[in-house]
Amino acid sequence: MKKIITPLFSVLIVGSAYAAPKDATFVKGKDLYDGAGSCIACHMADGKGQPGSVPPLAGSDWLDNPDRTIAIVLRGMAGPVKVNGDRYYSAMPPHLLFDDEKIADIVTYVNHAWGNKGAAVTASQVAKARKGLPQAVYTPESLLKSFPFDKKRGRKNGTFTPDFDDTLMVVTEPVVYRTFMPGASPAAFAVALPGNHYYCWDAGECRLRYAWTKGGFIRGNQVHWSSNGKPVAKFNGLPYYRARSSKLKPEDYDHLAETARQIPFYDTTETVDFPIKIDGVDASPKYKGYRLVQGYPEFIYKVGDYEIRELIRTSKNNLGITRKFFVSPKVPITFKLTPDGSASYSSSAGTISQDGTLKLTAEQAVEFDLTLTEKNPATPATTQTEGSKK
Amino acid sequence: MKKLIYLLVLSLTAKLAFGGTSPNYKVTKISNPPSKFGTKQIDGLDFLPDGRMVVCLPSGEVFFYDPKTSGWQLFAEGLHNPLGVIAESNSSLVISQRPEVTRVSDTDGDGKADFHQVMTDEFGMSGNYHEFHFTPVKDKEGNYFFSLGTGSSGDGIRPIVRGKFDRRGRPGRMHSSTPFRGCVMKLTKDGETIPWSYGHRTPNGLGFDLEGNLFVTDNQGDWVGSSKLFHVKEGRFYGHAASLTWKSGFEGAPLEADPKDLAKMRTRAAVVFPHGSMANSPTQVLAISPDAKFGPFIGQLLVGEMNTNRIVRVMLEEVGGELQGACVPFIDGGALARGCNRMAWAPDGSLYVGHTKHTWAGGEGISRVEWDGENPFEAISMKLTKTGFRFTFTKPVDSKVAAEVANWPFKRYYYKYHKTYGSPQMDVTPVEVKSVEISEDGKMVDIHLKELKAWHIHEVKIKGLKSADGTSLANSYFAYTLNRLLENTPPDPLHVSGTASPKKKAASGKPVKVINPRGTVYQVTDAKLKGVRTSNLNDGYTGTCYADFDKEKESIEWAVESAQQGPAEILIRYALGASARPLSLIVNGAKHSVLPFPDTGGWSNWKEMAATVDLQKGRNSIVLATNGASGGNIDHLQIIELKVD
Repeated sequence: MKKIITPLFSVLIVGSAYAAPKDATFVKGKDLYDGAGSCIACHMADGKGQPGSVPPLAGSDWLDNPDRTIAIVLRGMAGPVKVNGDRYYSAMPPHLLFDDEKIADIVTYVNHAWGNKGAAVTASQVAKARKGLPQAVYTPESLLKSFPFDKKRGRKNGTFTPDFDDTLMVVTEPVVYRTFMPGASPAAFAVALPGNHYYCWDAGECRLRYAWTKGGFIRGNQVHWSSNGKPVAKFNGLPYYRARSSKLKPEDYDHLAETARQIPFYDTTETVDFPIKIDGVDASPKYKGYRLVQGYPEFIYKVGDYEIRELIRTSKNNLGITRKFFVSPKVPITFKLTPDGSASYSSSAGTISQDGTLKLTAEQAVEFDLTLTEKNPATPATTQTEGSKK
Repeated sequence: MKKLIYLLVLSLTAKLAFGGTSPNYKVTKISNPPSKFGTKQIDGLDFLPDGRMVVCLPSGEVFFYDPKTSGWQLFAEGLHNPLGVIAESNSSLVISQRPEVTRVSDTDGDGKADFHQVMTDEFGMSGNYHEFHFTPVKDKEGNYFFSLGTGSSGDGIRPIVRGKFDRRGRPGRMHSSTPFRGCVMKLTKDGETIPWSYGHRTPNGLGFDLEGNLFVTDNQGDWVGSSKLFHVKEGRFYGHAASLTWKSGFEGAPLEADPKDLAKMRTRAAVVFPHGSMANSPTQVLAISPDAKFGPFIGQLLVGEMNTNRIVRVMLEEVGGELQGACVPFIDGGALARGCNRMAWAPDGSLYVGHTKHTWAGGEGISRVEWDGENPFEAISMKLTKTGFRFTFTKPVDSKVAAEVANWPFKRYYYKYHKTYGSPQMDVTPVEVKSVEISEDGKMVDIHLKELKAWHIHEVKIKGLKSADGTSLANSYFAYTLNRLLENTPPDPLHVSGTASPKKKAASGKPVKVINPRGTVYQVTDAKLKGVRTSNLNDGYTGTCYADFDKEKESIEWAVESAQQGPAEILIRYALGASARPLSLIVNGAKHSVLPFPDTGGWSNWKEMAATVDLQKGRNSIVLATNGASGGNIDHLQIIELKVD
């Protein structure tokens, strides 16, 4: 099971309701799905899969032909597919070692669980399918050649040509996109750094919103601009860091990619969470632009008469990101670092208190580094960490 | 001395072509920029002082093109839907992108931009896709103007919006819930950002004429009966209601205002482009500059058209203190692609056109239009006279054809001003031509009409006109927006249809505050269901199921608790993969309304239907009931309580 500490932007996992016959095959199938088959690890208990990586089984438009489903389960399939209109990239491993009956149980379960209304499958159907399998794992193209979609259902295609975003798997130089990002104002940045570190910086509130490292950069940005501009970017990983926002409740995070709201949770004139406090300055930060420093964006914003520059790069040990700040003219600052269970901060100057407060003298604040690292059992947290947890 | 020829009105039935590029203009293709995303759509286009061209792509890439070498060079990347560019120097561009007007410059001389400086971001973004930010233009004093599209009911808004959210501007087909959506904006040379004019819907294209008058186009839709060209002046309102939210002195919600009052406030278009025949989605405005090598039309305006492969020419005159005039297709069909979105004059005087589509009808790539230096046979002007119109042509006309009254079949009509989408042509009436008068040099033709009616579009498709040397008139379809007569103009009849929406008690002019933006969600499992089945067949519902209306006498009743007496917004989440299925809304036993519940585009596409209701303190009953027919699939009811200040 994947360890999910902060389920940001993940699909809500709800108890599944079975509308299907609870006969023996179904029950055995569920046991295999949840247990020996390990289906549940990727397709999840609710059959909804994982956005961008594992396609859903609940309500899947690929389940129209049981013979195709048997073929995928047996032989496996590698290559990007489109399911219910969304793109998925993970491969399905083969399950040739499961006997015919077990495969039949699993497929029958999948065909009936979560409101699915597919056919029950027998062991003899599986046995027959097994004889016709190709040598290699299916590609979506080879599979659909053998088991095409029923034209009457209007389904033309189950695959697509990967575009630039899809091929951006290994990041060798910074990539800066301005696009619609979940969990940020509409004036957002998506940035990929060498070493496969990613973050969202929000020009609407002048601050780092969240950072992630697993699961790749945003996908389908091409869909955003090549359409009418509606789609909000998606990414597969979970942020290990997200900025504190007193305007959002934990349950709001599941809704931050929505576009169809009548009214917002809040607007940026109401924000109170800008983390850098300067004595005697009440003004909200104003975004001024960014400079590319060896390709890395250095964000520039003003708080009152003070200019703050923030240059974000991959950290030296490659385990996180380092935010280099410049404050001018010289002034002492208080930096409220977001308490968060899955990330740790260290600072090149001053000491971070237990509650995540960093006080810097005017001299110290001229230039300082904050390094953000994902807390991970395999990589012990760096020296100074925040204490508080939710 | 003019020849005077009187002729009988004849009717001709022969079908003739009325548009087409004159053979004196040649359209060629320019190679596409080497976008790493493979895009060929061009959303911004200008020329650098050194003669290179700059283009912006929807992918956020900005390329330079050297016409001498036909070579492309990447200048900048990562912009958010840039829709216009001004090349201020060979290394510094001013770009309109979704969140900002940005100066993008190369400060270290390596040929690639390294500095993206905000010039202004003092306007809101609800995150709705239709909130485009169009074309920066710069006046002679160094002030910039740009325009902000409204949001579309094709989707809602985002959970976090930039800038002040005002719910008064939120309802409607096209909305303006954050500052200045639907305004033309001015960024002064001193850096101040001010809303300059109001009442724009999709103002995809600004431009100046040679005298420095500012113009903006708008696209047909709600409040815009047919696409238009406006002469922009400070503080004016041009018809689309939503942006009134941000006009000081305007109180209440724009959609609750009496359309008559709005019609009295509005400034009429200088030119209306008849929908379906002239232009459906006009884009940029570009004056034909003295440096352009484009024929005898200096000072006139070109207006691009998105839906068809056409560039329209506009001929304006001042009548009664305001500009009005005629439009005519100019570069039309043939090799020109559709989606003529951005245009600029190259140093050699030819016209470069960037094509785009953004999922709408449009095109891609770059066209170049060159004039061969020979006199085309076209109308140079169409001007209002006391008795009709005077056409001036580039060449003497074939007087035999021109003198034929039946070859000038004029008609007039108007478009309604209302909140619904578009308008049919109203009161279409043929206008009798009493006589045709041709000047001695044969270039001027006076059409005397039986009647000229102010506030009506007068159009003509001239039949079979040739020049004296036998050249066919390249473009013979003219539409003149006759607002004002040379004398005795009657008052604007407003042309309003529909009346003021019944004012909701809750929102009668007073600001309303949202108490809890998240509201309270009531699932269908919380409700009393009469006849309605629950189902989970289609994906995307919240909770454990949704309610599936099936018959003509079914209902869902929710018991809703309210902490106070007062207004509340209710949002009903539903999906409908068929044509509209209206349902009755009954609040505390009284019929509130019939909610239309239009098609959501599929049984798994969930949208929200909104209504404002008055709740009593304590328990309330909210019922959705079928109305003689079935209903859609209902996911849940959300109640957002409001507070009247």
